[in-house]
Amino acid sequence: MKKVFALLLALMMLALTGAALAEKLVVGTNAEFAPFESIGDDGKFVGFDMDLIDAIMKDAGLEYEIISIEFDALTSALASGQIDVAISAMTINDERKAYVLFSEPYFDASQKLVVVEGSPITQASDLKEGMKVGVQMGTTGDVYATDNLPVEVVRFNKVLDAILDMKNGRLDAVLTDAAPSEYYAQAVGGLVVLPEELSEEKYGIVVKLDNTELMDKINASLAKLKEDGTYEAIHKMHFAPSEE
Amino acid sequence: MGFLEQLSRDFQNNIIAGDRYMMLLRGLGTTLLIALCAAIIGIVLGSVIALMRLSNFRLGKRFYPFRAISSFYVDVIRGTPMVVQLMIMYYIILAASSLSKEVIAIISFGLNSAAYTSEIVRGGILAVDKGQSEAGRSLGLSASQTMLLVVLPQSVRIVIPSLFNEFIMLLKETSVVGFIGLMDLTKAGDFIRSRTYAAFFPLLSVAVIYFVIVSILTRVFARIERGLRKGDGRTI
Repeated sequence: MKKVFALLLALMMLALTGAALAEKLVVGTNAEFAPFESIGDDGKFVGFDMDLIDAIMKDAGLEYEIISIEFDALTSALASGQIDVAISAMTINDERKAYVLFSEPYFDASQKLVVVEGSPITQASDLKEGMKVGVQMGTTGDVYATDNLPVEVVRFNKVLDAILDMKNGRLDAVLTDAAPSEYYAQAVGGLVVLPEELSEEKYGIVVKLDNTELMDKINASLAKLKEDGTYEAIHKMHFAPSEE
Repeated sequence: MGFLEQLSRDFQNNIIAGDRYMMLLRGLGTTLLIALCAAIIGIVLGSVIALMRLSNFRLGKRFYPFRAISSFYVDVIRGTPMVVQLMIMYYIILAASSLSKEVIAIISFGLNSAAYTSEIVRGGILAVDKGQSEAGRSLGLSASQTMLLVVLPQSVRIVIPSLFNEFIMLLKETSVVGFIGLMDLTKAGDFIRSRTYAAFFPLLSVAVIYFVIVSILTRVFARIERGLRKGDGRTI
């Protein structure tokens, strides 16, 4: 009995030291937001954010792995230490700044409405009381619609679920970031992205509030990638000029 | 800032500010509404399925159509996760319907609960001593009269504890309705989390509310059970 116990203890210590040796940064994302982050046909994470974080981590010489969790859980996962970094098309805003540390902005974005083809809605002011607008919960689209539109806001875990619900005739519009709305409108078909830009936002990479050391590395690498053209190349790969 | 101060600030921020507790209460209302209505569908449909499963109606030599249909139904429902059934109902089967999300959720959970309930009821019917139905038949009652007047009333007492258990499971299982954009208790907690970026109070208060509701239900159910057991001579 004693021997078995000793063996178990030894195994446990081995496992613990093993985990400590292979210390990798855990990067959290919500892989439901193409073209920034989604799961590709081969089951790997793909998208603009994924390529960017890969370039940054390589430049900074850091090992990392990616996990995908709900978007609204990313900030609390950072605070509780389950993830070290989050990159998930996250808009820099003051509310979030109180809880997480943002990098320098890495992408300019805006919020756009998506409607079905032939919809009478052509701009945000066409949305009236009693209409329903779908959003992904916790996104800036959610906050914008809740604060600024007179409609009922229906919150989904994924943008795609909201889009499908609208296709089934249950929503009048979906509000989400410009690039994903273009992406899903094209992928699903029969949809129109309204040109009106409802807000101007910038995306940032985030780490835990007190992890300035890691953030300095990320910012330094981000600046370098912007300088040497890597950023430009990644951007081109995901956003053809005709789309934007 | 002291720990207690921080705690009270977080409580203020997560529960009181912006009437967030109202959001939790409204979510609880949705949760209870779906669970209650689904349980009613579950018991009615579940009993029908149980009777079908025990039916002796036969086509040809050994094909029992009611048995086949009902056991296929139970297999399909028990063999697939609830959340998948809910998504199929919402995004495929009833995609073109104008029914509200609540109604679709009630139908999905009702159909799901019916499969589990049917097994509970079937077990209850089989647990009634064979002598009871034999006595019924020898007193001149027909097979269906025996079932309705002799066996079923006695099986009610047997199945009640399991039915209550099923209801409690159902109540907690409704926490997946967020997948179709319904704001139930769990989703209300998620919503607060998405605004305050904190996990502690939103998640714990949701857990506490579920726990309190289930505790209250457990007490009520225990009372009903005691009432039903009066006169069978047992003391527990």
